[in-house]
Amino acid sequence: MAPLEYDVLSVMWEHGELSVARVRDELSRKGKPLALTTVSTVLDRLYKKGLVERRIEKSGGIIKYIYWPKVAKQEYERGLVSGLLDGLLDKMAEPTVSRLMELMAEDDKDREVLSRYLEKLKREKKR
Amino acid sequence: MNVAQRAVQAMPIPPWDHLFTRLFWHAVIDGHLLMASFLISSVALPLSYLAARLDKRTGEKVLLLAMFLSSVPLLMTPLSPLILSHHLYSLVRVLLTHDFWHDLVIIERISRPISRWARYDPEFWVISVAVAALGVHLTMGSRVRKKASIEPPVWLVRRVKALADKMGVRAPKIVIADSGEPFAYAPISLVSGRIVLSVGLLESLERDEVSAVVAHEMSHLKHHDPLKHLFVRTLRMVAVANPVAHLMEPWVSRNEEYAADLEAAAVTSPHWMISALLKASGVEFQSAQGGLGKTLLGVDRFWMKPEGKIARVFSEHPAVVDRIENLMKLVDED
Repeated sequence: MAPLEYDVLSVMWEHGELSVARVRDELSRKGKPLALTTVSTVLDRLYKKGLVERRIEKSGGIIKYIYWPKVAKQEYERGLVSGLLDGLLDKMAEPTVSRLMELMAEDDKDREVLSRYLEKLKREKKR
Repeated sequence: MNVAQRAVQAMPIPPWDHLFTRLFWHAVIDGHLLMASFLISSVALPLSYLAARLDKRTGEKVLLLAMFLSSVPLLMTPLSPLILSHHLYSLVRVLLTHDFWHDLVIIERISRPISRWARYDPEFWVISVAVAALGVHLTMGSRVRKKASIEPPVWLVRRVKALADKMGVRAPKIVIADSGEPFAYAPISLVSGRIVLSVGLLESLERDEVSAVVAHEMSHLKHHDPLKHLFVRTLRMVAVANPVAHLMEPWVSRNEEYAADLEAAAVTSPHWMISALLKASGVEFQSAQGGLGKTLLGVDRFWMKPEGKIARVFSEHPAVVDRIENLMKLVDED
């Protein structure tokens, strides 16, 4: 996902239902001023990717879309991490696992979780 | 000679055989077509129609892909499905007679001189353009019909009517495309004029700017630019080896854009037209912050921004900066 798409999606997670103009205003408030055409294009892409939903709202001669996130932030991020890890484990399993273990070993709590998990694996293997 | 072979020998050569063989050799000799192109054009369009009827989103994707894939062979030799059926007819003859070379030599002897002449044959050109126009009309028409569920706002219809009176043309039908991407275009239409505007465009531009964009598209319709463009494109595809044809299409297209900009600016305002161009190209004045908000994503579907000099020669749309410079003449005159 492009950084701009993630920025727009973050605004959607934060505020729920928004029009294109509101998304632009929120981004502007965060120090990311963008043209309406750009925000509209990005939201359209997110819609085509199935990450946001939209409906048409008509009032006073104005036709506009109202967008809202289709995927929760946690769900999206979990999917993103799983995808990344699956890809790494598929192609570079050994360095990925050893690096993860290295990182976990640095923290006492993580080390304990890791050793418990290894014990469990050993027990299962004996059976 | 067995019964089947005798039957094949007795098969009459149909009157349309000459046309097929002529076109077939025209295609082969000039290297315009590949067998794959015949298949794509014959299969892609009906498939896309079916997909569009089943599911809107999948249909759109298949339709766009089919339009892209089929436009090349369709515009190169619009009679490709007919040529394909001739291939099948020849294949049956060859398979049954087991005399491949004999059959080919006969076809070649008959068609070679005719195919040379076919290049200058007005009938070939007329049929090519007519079939290509029909194909594109049906494809574009289907795309437009699918997106016609959103009613245009009353103010827009009124403005279109007023602009049509001002420009001395019949008011075109406004079709709102269900897309957040900002775009506008006048599809090729043999029956009535239509202008397609996306929801994204209506959301992104002010009413006056939308009017300028509509006037721009109306100018294209008034001067039959979509049809002219199709003709020049067909010419380019058929005369694929001619470099002039390749330069001609973008040149004609760019001139159409400049002319449409000027006419739209004259009936609306050059300021609205310039403002619409700036916004649509992803640059927007942000008066509240007093500066220019530049974007990373330019909207390039109808307002492409080629940078280099060479790109400008081959581009069908002039650079936004050139279009604004063209419009500034009107501003200076004021």
